[in-house]
Amino acid sequence: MNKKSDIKPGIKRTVNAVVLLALILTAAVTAFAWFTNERKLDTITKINSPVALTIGAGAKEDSSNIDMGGIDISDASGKKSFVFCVYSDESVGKYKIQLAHTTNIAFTYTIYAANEGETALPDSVVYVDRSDVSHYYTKSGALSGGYLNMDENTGIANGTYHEKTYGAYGSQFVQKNAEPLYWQSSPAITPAAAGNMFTDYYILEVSWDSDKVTNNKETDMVYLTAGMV
Amino acid sequence: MDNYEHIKIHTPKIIIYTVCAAVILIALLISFISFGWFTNSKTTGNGINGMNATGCKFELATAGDGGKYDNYIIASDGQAPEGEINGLPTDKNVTVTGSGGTEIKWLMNSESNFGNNAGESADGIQPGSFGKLTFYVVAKQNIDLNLTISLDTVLYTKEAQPIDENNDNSAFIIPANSSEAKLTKGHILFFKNKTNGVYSDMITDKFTFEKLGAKKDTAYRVDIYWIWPEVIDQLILPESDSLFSGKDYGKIISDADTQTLITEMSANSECYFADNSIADLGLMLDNISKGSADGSFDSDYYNKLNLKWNESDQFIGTNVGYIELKLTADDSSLGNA
Repeated sequence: MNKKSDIKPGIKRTVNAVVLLALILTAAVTAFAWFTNERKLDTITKINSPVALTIGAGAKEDSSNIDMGGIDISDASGKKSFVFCVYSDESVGKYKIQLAHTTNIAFTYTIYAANEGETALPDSVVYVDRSDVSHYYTKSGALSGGYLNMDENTGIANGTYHEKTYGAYGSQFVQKNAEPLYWQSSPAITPAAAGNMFTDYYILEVSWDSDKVTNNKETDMVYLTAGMV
Repeated sequence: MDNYEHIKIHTPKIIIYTVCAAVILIALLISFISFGWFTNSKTTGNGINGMNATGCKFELATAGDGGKYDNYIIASDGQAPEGEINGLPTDKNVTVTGSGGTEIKWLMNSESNFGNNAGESADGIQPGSFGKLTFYVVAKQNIDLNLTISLDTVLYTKEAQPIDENNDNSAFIIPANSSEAKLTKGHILFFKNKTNGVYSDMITDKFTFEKLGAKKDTAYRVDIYWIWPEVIDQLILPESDSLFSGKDYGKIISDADTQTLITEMSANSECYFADNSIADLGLMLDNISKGSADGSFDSDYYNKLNLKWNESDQFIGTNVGYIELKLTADDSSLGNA
């Protein structure tokens, strides 16, 4: 007869239970909100890799491929050239190249900026990569810079950087040719592709006057470094 | 008649249910209010008047521009302040927590330098980055405010991306106990103060904001300084050390913070050095902190730790894509702090 009377007691009970639950939940949530005395701020940013400047061999291969062993001074050209590169996958403002070497052998070290060419030219320096592909580089001008601690008369190191090199170990205990010479490019170099990732190629030329050197198994240590400024 | 009987039979049950609901509601309210009274000794005078619809005795406000990566996180945009609030910048976009959300996006300004300011070209942070993050505590009553402010970071891999209603970045969260998360915590540091270029009062997780006699609808500015030091020298060597000469950086934290940090580095080396098997770390740090002029200074220690620090930065940069910074302000005068 009346709609209300058609509702079964079981359903009514369920409805009541749901209403009750809703009331309890509402009360709980409201009460919780009153007591949430917490406020938050949230932000997020990107993490960049440190800007890394890397020295590589020719063809941007690992620097372990710069092999300066086995210079034969009977080579009539009086010089031997090695290709290396300075590169970064990031944008770098300016950088400097440093060269440090001992002076046991009367070599002259010169660093030239270099360009990679498609084909071999008469004055190309060839770098053969791990896949046996030849890459050709030509000099485009010696880097400007100078030695920081060279004695002008003897051509070997003075005492300027002795302490930096050997610490408290006195210079009287160090053989004069084992005192390294430090060379630094100046002014700072702006990468070829400023503002982007880049690869700058260089040729390190080791030359000698055949009257002043002999193949007598002398060794020298040579360090190349590149650093952002 | 039939109908009447039906109602007669069921009415008492409805009353029982209603009474039950009311009793439970009242019981809940009484229990919460009592809890509030017993744990809120400072503010008993305010009773439950302070517990209005927007909840807190304070809100947080933020001013500036949105972040470039704000669509990578879940937080509401907040809303412009309702009514006048003294002490907020008038030349910037301002948002506040409250009915617009209890967790809102932190707006950045030109000093934040957090690499995410939508109005600037800088993109991301790296070693050498530093800045100042600013927010405001807005009192909603005339009251003594005593808040616990905590800073938490969540890291994501480089695969994280803008989110929508169908996905979020939770799959790309880097676990807090991973090496990269620990190292990031140790390499990106937060401080309460900066004086003449020197940061002090390092924040380790939490600090207290206290404003006695805060005025209703007034904003109180809070600055947090953050740094990602380029080299460990800046944290450990004495300020005037000759090893800083000719460099474009110097000591950046106070000597007191250096001592705190050395203790912390020795105890939790995995948060500072990717290689956590460094023997005699505490000894090495103590040695370096005496400076290069000290007779016992060991340049091998110095070189080794610098190298390890840099390798750690490289590790963070290679493995971490994004860092989320969450600031939580909690009314520590209540029991739920």
